[in-house]
Amino acid sequence: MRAALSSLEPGTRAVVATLPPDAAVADELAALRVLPGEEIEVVQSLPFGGPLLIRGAGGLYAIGRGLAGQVGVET
Amino acid sequence: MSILSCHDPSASTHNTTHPTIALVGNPNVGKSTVFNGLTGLRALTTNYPGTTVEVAVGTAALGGRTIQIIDLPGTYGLTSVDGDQRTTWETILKERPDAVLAVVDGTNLARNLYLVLQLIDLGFPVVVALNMSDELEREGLRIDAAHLGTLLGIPVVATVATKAEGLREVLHLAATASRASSRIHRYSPEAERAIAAIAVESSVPDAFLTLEGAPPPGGISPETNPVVRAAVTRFEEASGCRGAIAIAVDRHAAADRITNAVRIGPAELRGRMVWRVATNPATGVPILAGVLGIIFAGLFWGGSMLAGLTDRMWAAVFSPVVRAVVTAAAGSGMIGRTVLWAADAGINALLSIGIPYVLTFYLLLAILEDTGYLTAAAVLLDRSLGRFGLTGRAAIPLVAGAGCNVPAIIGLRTLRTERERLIAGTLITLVPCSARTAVIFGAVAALAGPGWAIGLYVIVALVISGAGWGLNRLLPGGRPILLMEVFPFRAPTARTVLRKTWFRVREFVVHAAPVVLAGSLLLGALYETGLIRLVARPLSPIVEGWLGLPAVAGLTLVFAVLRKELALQLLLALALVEYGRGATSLLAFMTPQQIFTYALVNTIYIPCAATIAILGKTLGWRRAGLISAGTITLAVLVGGVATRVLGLLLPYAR
Repeated sequence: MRAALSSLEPGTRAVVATLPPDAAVADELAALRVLPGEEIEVVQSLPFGGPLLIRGAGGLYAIGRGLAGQVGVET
Repeated sequence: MSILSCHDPSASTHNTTHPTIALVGNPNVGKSTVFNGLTGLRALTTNYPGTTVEVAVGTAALGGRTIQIIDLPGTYGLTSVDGDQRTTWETILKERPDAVLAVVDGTNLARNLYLVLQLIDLGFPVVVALNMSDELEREGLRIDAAHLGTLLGIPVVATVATKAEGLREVLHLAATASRASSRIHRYSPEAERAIAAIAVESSVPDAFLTLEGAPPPGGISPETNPVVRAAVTRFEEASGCRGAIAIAVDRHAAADRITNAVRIGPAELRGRMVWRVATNPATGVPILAGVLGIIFAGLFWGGSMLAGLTDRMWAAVFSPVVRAVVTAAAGSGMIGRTVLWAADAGINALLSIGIPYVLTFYLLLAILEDTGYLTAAAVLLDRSLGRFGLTGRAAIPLVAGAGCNVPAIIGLRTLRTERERLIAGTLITLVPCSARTAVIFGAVAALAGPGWAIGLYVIVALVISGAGWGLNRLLPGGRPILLMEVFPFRAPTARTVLRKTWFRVREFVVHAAPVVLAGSLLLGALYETGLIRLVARPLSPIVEGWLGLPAVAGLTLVFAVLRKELALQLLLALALVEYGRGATSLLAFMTPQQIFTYALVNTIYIPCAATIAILGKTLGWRRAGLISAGTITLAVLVGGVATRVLGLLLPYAR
């Protein structure tokens, strides 16, 4: 099922499907190995629109709710 | 034209008689520690990204040769990044180092190799320092450095930068790496076909730059060259995405293959549990409050204990000697008494206000920095900082501002947009730096009580929140984005903590002592000649009338534009001369309520001269002027209101 990364609960695993439209931001995510086809796990999701902690093969990252809303994932 | 083949010595700013080695690596892999180990210089190191925001240059000696070493801000990729990471790429293009020393975190090898592969792809002569080998072993892992070198086609040396292990060897290899590394690794057939096609027109490095959407300046480009355009289009159609993303996928896959081939032991497992606890509001907020509480208690008990100790020591041992020497040399007339202002009272004030609290604070800050806890705080505060138009990323410069505003403002470069830099820069000037903390603790907490100090911090926090909220509403622009790596917690080592504290305190003393001496000498001359009443008079409507402070106290606030802690030190020197020894003599001419107002105004009003200078350089002089004027107005306003509110409340509190 296709969803936005921002909507995932902590503990969920998903595969990245689409990156944000802004090329610079997309390339930065790509360098961090947050890429289409890569599996990531939501480690933490802070309430009230706070950031998410995601864990991928590249490492552990904090990603703002707004940016996470632009990353499409397949669950 | 290749980025390396167009090497023109005159275009480069570095001294071309020395070979130049650039240190490149992901954030927080120990580049600055390697830099310090190689050069003997003292770039600051921390356990969070963004410590090196300026390019640091040093030299190392190797077999009679001098080698220039450039420390660059940490970056994940070279061609397509923003903010401080951009500096690395621009510097590498400008300086054209003879070799790149890639510092790699062995505990996260695959992700780190991405950058190494990119450096090789772009044709740089690369040598790898496989750092944190000791941490790897602790996790039961080992990486076959020799095999890694074979697979990459470049020299690889295992290093432990914190213990200077392997550094000489890696320097020697980097200094002798003269030609571009040959690319052994291969990507997908589609990528290799596109690279080969474009390379015919120019070179392999240029082919990579073109495919990654950063065509070489002045070189080939898909817009002007039909062969290149056809190759790029074919590649992007075959991959189903932009070239930059397709290359990134390939490069990460290659990094993964290489990592799996050289890693001995289980796949790395790093604690997620501790991060869950630290960032979950239910547990994270109490932890954050606990950390702040420990800092406050440490400053209150530790700082005041140290202050009492130095104060007594000066009074018992040094002061009588100084007084005797000065009186013998300059007599006990006006000149002798003026000299004593600086030589006795001035130094006494520096020892009992400046140094004790600044030392204690920097010690606590160094411990906090090295644990890596600040990143947890950044995640936790992201939502709140969003109300000010900032992200959690801004928490790091804001906390750094509590040490000293100047490096914090330099650290603004790690923020993505000009809007964030402007808002965070303004807020940093309101964050009580260690000098202002010394005034708050040395006067308010020590003489009026810790409750008053807490109250002062609450007021300052409200002022900062109000300013942040207001700026976010006033300035046009949208909500910024947060994307940052969070690092494993580390136990700080006594060695790095003490080293860092020592360097920062030494820097403080070197800068503060001359200003305190000159300031107390000037104030002493005004006092001893009686001119002080004349000079203080123009300030009296605001200082006496509105703020309810003695006029001379207002004069010391004006002096404090030079350095914030100078305000209290001069006031104390004044009290010492007028009412005799002991910091408590301040209470002889100011009530606790006045001391509170005084410290509050000192905290909020105009940042010190050094801060204004760096603000002007970073944000522009007009903005620096506006911020200064704004904070003076704010301080006078808040101080006057606080005096009146306290005047109303205190009779009932007693």
